[in-house]
Amino acid sequence: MKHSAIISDELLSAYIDHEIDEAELRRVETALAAEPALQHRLETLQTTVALMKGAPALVVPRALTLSESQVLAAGGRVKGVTHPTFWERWLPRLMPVATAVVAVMFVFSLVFSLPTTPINTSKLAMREQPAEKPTLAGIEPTEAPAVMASDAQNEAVEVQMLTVEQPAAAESAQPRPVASEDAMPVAREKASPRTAIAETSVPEAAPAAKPAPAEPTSREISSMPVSWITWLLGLLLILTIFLTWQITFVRPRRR
Amino acid sequence: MDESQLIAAAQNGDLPAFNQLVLKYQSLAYNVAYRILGDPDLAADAAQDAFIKAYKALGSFHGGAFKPWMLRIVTNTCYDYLRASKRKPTNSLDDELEKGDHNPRFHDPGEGPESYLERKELNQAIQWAIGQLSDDHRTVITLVDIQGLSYEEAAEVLNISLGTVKSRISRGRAKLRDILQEHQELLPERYRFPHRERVASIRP
Repeated sequence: MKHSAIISDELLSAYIDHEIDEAELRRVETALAAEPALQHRLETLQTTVALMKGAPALVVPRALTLSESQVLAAGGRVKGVTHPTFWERWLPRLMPVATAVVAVMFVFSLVFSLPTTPINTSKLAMREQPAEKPTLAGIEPTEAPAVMASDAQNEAVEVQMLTVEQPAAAESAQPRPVASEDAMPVAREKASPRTAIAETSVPEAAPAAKPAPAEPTSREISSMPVSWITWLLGLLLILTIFLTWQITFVRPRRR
Repeated sequence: MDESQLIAAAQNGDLPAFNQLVLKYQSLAYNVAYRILGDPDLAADAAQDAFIKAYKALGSFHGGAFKPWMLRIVTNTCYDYLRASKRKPTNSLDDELEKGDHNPRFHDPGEGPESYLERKELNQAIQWAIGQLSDDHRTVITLVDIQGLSYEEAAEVLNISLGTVKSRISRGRAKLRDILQEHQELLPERYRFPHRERVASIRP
C-alpha cells in the first residue's frame, strides 16, 4: 500500500508545525523516505506555509488610539471625565424630532383653521334663498313632503349644531318637524330654518322671547376652537425651536 | 508600566494606559483584520472598533493572556463586518491592482524599489489566494501561518477545539496550495513551487 494514501494532508500539516507525537513522527518520516510523491506533497505544503509566513506586514494607516469622545460616544467611561446624563445624551437627539412633530401639527392646525367651509357657506346661502322647488308642469308633489320634511329636519339639526354656542330659543324647544306636514311649512323651513324652528317649537301665543341671533359666518364657526389650538401649537413650536437651537448649538459651544 | 499594570489601569478608566496597549497591539490587530477582510480601510475601521469594544469589555477580562483575548475581539469584529456588508474579501486580482492609492503600505526595512515591488506583488498574490478560502479557513491561516500563533492560541482566539484548528489549518493549507499552484504566474519568480520532476530527480 502506498504511503501517500495513508499519510493525510492533516498529518503532513501537523508534521510541518511539529504538532505530532513520536509514533506519528516516525510513521511520517518512514513514508517520506520511501515515497518521492509524498515528499513532493510535503514540499508544496511547506512552500505554501513559507509563503504565508513571508507575507509582508502592513503599516497601520492611522493611529488607532482612542479619543475620549470616541469612548464616550460608544457609551464607555473615562476616568476624570464627567459623563453625560441620560437626558444630556438623548435630548439633543429627541428635540429635533419633537420640533418636527410640533411643526407638522401646527401646519395641520393652520390648514384646518383657515376658512374651510365653502360647503357651509353655500349651505347658508342656500338657506337664505327662498325654496323654489321646480315642479313638473305645475303638478304638486305628493310624496315629496315626507322626503323634504326629513331634509328640513336634518338641516335644522345641522344648524343647531353649528350654532351650538348661541342659546337659541329653539334649542330648548327640541324641534321635531313632523313628516306629515304639508309642503308649505317645509318650504318655509328651508327658506329660513331658524325661523321655522322658532315657529314650530314656540307657540304663537308666547312672545318671541329672544330674537334669533344673527347667522354666524363660516369663519366664525370654524375658527373659534381651532384657533386656540393653532396659537398654542405656534407658541410650542417657537419654544421647541428655541430649545433645539440652545441644546444643539449654544450649549456644546460653551463646553 | 508593564502590560498587567496597564490593563489594571485601563480597567479603572485610564484611557492613556489603554492607548499604550493599543499602540502595542495595533499592528497585529490591523494586519489580522486586513487579511480577513481584504480591504485596508475597512481593516483600520474594524481594528479601531475592536479596540473600542475591548476597552468597554475590559471589566470582563480576568487575567490570562491579553493577546488572544484582544485577537478574539478583533476576529469577531471582522466577522461582524463580513456579515454586515455581505461581502467577501476582494477576489479579483484586477480589483487589487485597480486600487492604486488604496494599496496598503508595507513596513520598510530599507529595501530598494525592486525588492519593494516584489513584496507588493507577493502580497497581492497572497491576499488574492486567501480571499478564495472560506472565512473560517482564512482566519485560521491568518492566525497560525501569517501571524505565527500556536495551535493552542488559535483555538483560544477562535473559541474552538484544538482538533478543529488542526483540521481547518490542514484543509486551508491544502486548498491554498492548490490555488497557488494553479496560479503560479502571480507569484514572484523565487517564491514559485518546486517542480515535481525536480523533486523526483533529487531523490535517488
